Parts: sequence; structure tokens; C-alpha cells
Amino acid sequence: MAENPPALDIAELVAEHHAAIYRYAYRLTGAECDAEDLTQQTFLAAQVNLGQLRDPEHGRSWLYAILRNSYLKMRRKRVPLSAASLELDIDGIPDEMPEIAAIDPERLQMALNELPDEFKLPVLLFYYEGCSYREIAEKLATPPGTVMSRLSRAKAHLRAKLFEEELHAATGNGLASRGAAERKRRSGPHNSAASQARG
Amino acid sequence: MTHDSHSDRAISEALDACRPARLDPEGQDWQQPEVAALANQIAGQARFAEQRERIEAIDSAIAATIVQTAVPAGLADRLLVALRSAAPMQAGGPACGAFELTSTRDEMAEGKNPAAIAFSAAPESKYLRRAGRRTWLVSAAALAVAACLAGILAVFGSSQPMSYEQVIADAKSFDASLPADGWQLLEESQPDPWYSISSSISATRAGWQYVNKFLKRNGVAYQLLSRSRARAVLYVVPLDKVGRPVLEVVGHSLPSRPDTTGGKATAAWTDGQRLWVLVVEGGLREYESFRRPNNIA
Repeated sequence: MAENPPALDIAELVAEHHAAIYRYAYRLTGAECDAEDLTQQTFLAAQVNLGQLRDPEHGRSWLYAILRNSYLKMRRKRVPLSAASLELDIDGIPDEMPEIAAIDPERLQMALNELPDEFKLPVLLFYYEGCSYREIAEKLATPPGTVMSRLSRAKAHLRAKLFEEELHAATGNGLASRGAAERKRRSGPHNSAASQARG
Repeated sequence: MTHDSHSDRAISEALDACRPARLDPEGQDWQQPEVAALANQIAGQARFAEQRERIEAIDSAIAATIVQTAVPAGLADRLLVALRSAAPMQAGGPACGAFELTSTRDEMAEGKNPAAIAFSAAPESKYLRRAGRRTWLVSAAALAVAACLAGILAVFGSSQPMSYEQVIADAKSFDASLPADGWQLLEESQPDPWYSISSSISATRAGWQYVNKFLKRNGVAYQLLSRSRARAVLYVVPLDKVGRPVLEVVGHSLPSRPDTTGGKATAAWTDGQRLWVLVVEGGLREYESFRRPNNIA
């Protein structure tokens, strides 16, 4: 006779995972107030569906899934960023490895904020959850090849934004001529889309 | 696009898609069918090895930075307040409304078909704003359109701030319906320190409980005893939530002139972030017994 699974308590899930959920929510939304709302929405949904979680060891990934769903649900009510506006140079990788301390968390967030959701979700699954591209494809119900392409473009966008100075220096060495063109476009990745919309 | 540039693009995508060795020590990502051929193609080529090394170093730096986000103080307690508040609604089952969220495949290694898992919507709590609030309204409207509209109008319909007199009246009304058996012993548990007792107050704490819908806010109530054994309840709620009525409470310490109607002395004050409302059983003398010495409003 199978043993009954241990009883799950939403308060325990909150105590154990609220910080990780909030951080993930912040990276998704880019705003503290939205992150707190999304965190609360996640745990409210978790409370309703607690019976679905039979293995407490999977609590965090289960909450992450609810978080992503809640985020997408929330985003459907807003105007999405255009994926077509993300024309980035995936070869624009800085020549020199920057110091870890050189990564500005706010700058990273600004770069994330510029990504459309179809790019932001894979890149957060990769960086925040440590998922393989195959796992990302499964979680997002997206073909692996599409995930690879979106991951690469999204990561190139982050690198371009985070290491702009290094890329600029590399341009002088003839490394990233395409990076220069990309920077020109990047005077606002969505500016062109916005101007089109205005026009 | 030339064959070489096409190949370079595919290799770059593979380098970005495959996890670094610290996350994939056995290199399983590189054994997947989409990249296995590329792995053989670039094996032994120094420029790709160098590119991979740079990408992995940057990835490590980004991954380390991405988890560095300060968590707001008191978040866990606020979540518990909201969950407790929502629990009775959730127990109502279909009345809360339900929707399927299938935009992403919901992974759980529990023997369920991942795509078959659907989450029911959580009911709205008053902390939720914007999209969350609208979501709940859409769900709830199917069952209680009139009630929901009335609630929304109550929150958003008035552009007038709630006057000090309204705050006091609502607080007294709430206090009259406060459950007598909901108090927790301070020896056993503590509320979040953010909901602290105002420094204007001098009293012994006898107990505390979370409160919901106090001036449309979630917060904490303290049972207090003054040095002359007068009894009071002190409410602490946040002021900083969008979508709630503005409260015209500007005093920053215990007011000198409380409302003394209905057998209770009631007063409110704020520090700009928190609102305190003190409801004392008795009149002005009992009220004054809670004042910290040298604290003159």
C-alpha cells in the first residue's frame, strides 16, 4: 500500500520560496510593485491548486511554472513588445571578458525589460532556472530550434547592452563591424517600431 | 547568406543554447540531435573554443547577477495575510471562478502529462492591482456582476480622499466586529516588524492578529494594556497601496483630541508609510494613559 504523501502547507511554501519567486517576478516584470503583485498572484494560485503538488521537492519548479503562467496572463492585458523590433547582432560578443563586478543589476534589468516575452522567458529559464534548451522547449511548448534562436538573440541583446563599452572598443579593432550597425539600431530597439506605429 | 555565415550562425546559436560545464558537467546538451553534428564540426577549433569560453564566463556573471534582487521587508507576512484573506473565497469553489493557463507547458515530474495540468485562477485580494484585479473582475462578473461593480466603484469611483472623520468612523465600526477569539500570543508568534507599534504609544502588548479590510487594507491589530490597565486595540496598516482611498490623516504622533463617542476614544496618525488607529475602551483619561510621556501632538 502506497504511503500518503506528506501534507503540504502553503505557509511552508511561502516561507521557503517567496524570495526566489519574488526575484524571478522582479526580473520578469522589471518593477517592484508588479513583482510583489505577481508573487502574491502566484501563491494565491498555488493555494488553490495545492493538491496538484504531490512532491514537495518539486515545489519551486511548480511555483515557477505558476509564476510564468500568471505573468503571461497579466501580460495579455498589456501591449506586447514587438519581436520584429529585436534585430540584434549575435556576433557582437565583447573581445575581452569583463569583470563580474562590471555587471550592473539595474542595467541588466533594463536590458531584460526591452526583450519581448518570447525572448525574455527563454533567457530567464536559462539564467534563473538553469534549464537546458531542451527543457525550455518543453516548458514553453516551443520547437528546440526556435528556442535556440531566441536564446541566442536574447543573450546577444543582453551582452550588447551590458558590455557596450567593450563592444565599442572592439569595433576599433575591426571585430564587431556588425556590432556598430547594431548599436546604431539600438539607439532604441523599439524606436523603429514606435515610429512606425506613430507613422 | 553564404554557407559559412549560415554555419557560423548555427554554431553561435548552439554555443548560446548549450549550458556551461558547471550546469551540464557531462555535456548532455551537446549530445542533443540539434547540436551534435555542430559539436563534431567545431571540435578542436581554437576560435570556437575561445568563443565558448567567453560566452560561458559572461553567462556565469549574468546568472550570478540575475538572482541579486533585494526582497521587500515583510513580504512573507503580507503574502500570508493575503492567503488567509483569500482562503474563505477559495473554499467557495466555483464562485471564485476558474480559468486555464496553458500558454506555457506546466512542468511537474509527477507522472502527469505536463500539458494537461491547468491552474485554477486565484481569487483576487485587495493587494492585487491592475491586470490581476481586472482578471478577477472578469471571472467574478459571471456570477456576481452587481457585487463586483459595487466593490470597484467603492474603490475607484470616488476621487475624494477619505476624511479623518470617515477614517475614525470606519475604524470604530471595524473594531466593533473584530473577532474576540482571533488573538495570538506574542510569546508564540510575532507579526512582521514592519507593522510595529507607534513610538507615540506606551503600553503592554497582550496579543495580536492579522486584520483584513481595515480601511480596505490588510494589517495587524494589537491588543494593548496601558499602565493604568486601560484596554485598547491598535491597528497598523500600510498607506502605500495604489487603488485604495487616500486617507486624510496627517498627524505624526498620538493626537491630543481623540473622538470620544460610543464609549471609546479613537484617534489616527501616520508616519507617511503606516497608519495607526488607536481604539481605547473608555474616555479621554483612559486614552491619555496610552500616551508615551513627553509625547505631545
